[in-house]
Amino acid sequence: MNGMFIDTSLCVGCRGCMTACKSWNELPGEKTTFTGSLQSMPDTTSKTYTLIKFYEHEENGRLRFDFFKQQCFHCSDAACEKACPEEAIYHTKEGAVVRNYDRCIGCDYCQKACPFNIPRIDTQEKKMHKCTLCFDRLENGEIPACAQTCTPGAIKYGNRDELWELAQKRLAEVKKEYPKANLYPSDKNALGGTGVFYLLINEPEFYGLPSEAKLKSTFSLWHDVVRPLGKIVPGLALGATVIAAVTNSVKKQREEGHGEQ
Amino acid sequence: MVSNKIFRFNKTMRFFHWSYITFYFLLAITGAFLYFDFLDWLRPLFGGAQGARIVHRVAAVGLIVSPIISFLLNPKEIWETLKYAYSWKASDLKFFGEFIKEFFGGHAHYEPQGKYNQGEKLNIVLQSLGWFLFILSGIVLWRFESFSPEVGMIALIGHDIAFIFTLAYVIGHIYLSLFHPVTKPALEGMLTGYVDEEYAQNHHPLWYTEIKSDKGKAKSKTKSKAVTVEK
Repeated sequence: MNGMFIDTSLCVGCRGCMTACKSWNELPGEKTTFTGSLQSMPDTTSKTYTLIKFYEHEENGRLRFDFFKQQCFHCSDAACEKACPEEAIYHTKEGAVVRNYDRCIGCDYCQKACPFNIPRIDTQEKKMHKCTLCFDRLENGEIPACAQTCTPGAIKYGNRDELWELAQKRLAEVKKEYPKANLYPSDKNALGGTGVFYLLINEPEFYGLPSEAKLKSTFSLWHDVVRPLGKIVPGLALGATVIAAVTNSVKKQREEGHGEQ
Repeated sequence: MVSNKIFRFNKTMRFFHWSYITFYFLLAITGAFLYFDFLDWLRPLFGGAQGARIVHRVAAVGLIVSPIISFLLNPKEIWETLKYAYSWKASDLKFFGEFIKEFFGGHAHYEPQGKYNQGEKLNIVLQSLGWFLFILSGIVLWRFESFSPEVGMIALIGHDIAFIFTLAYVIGHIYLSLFHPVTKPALEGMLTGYVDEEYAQNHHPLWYTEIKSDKGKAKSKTKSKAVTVEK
């Protein structure tokens, strides 16, 4: 299985990946507002699948830029796929998590379920949009547009196991300069193994990520307890009425039989 | 033949009951599209998934206002019904053991019941709590994109729980009112307002004696009155 490794220590914030993504996916530009940062826009949208987030801060009297590439993690155990009531989200054989345009009704369950808050709804069109891992490129033996365009080589796409080994090596090197550096998700098999993983130079919380990459407890409660109950409890009620209808009609017949004797 | 009829449900209660369940069913069907795949064939009736979403919202407004209008029409009736339904004592629970026997065709020995028996009281409690939960969580779901994922997920859980327990009770309620030989006569009360005296005496003896004695005293204030209908 292939995967994507994003080494944020190598990112220079050129946003070439964002442009390549827009270009390949034929996404329009969007008006945005100046937020006091060099970051292009506050968040990903239904028309912007990936965003280089800028974390400008002062360290030892010098301005520092730290970067994070926000996009879909393409989890193997994908909460969005499980949450979708229309079975519109699925895995391609290359491992990309994608949405079937015709099935999607824009209900937004996927965004609520996602541990990383990635899916975005186009409220006019009523469809969900997010990074597709360029599954159409993958199908044709190409690598995702962002990985192909990344000049400093921060985005790598290839054999997942080899990339994970590379990530371990990079982590050991980067730790010398950034002691807080870590791999995210820290567990190779978190969420069934995410198609995309990162080398971060700050703690996950610094980037607004959950400290541990796992399904949300509210999602598990909903998906594993409440939803099955929704079929079991009304089902039991229906079953009980069917049994009662039978026992009551049997009783009625018996009483009528007694009357005839 | 002369059969005595007892007045049980006034216009407010009947308006409330039928308006509420009309909206409840529209909401249940359009909502269940996201739950049960076997209902997919009904979708075109509502204009597909997007049409169903609009119907769901329109019916939601109806479900919200139906109890409120009923309350404004007759605050006393609604308030006293709620007060009655929410008053419970430990021995009331015995009703349900007996009820299960009767439900499946056995013979039940109930403690004397008032205007609403314990099962009807539980229905009012569950449906009114469900109403609150539906609205609270529904407000979040209505503007789903504007709420954080955490709040959204909790609202989804709340909406589902309200649906599960009200629906289960509704299924039993429909069976009891339309098909169950013992409880069937109660339906007339919700259609015309009047129930058979015999039914009232057997099923709601506390209430029956109460209105009989009220009638004896000829109280003008009483909500419930007994009349004789020529048949």
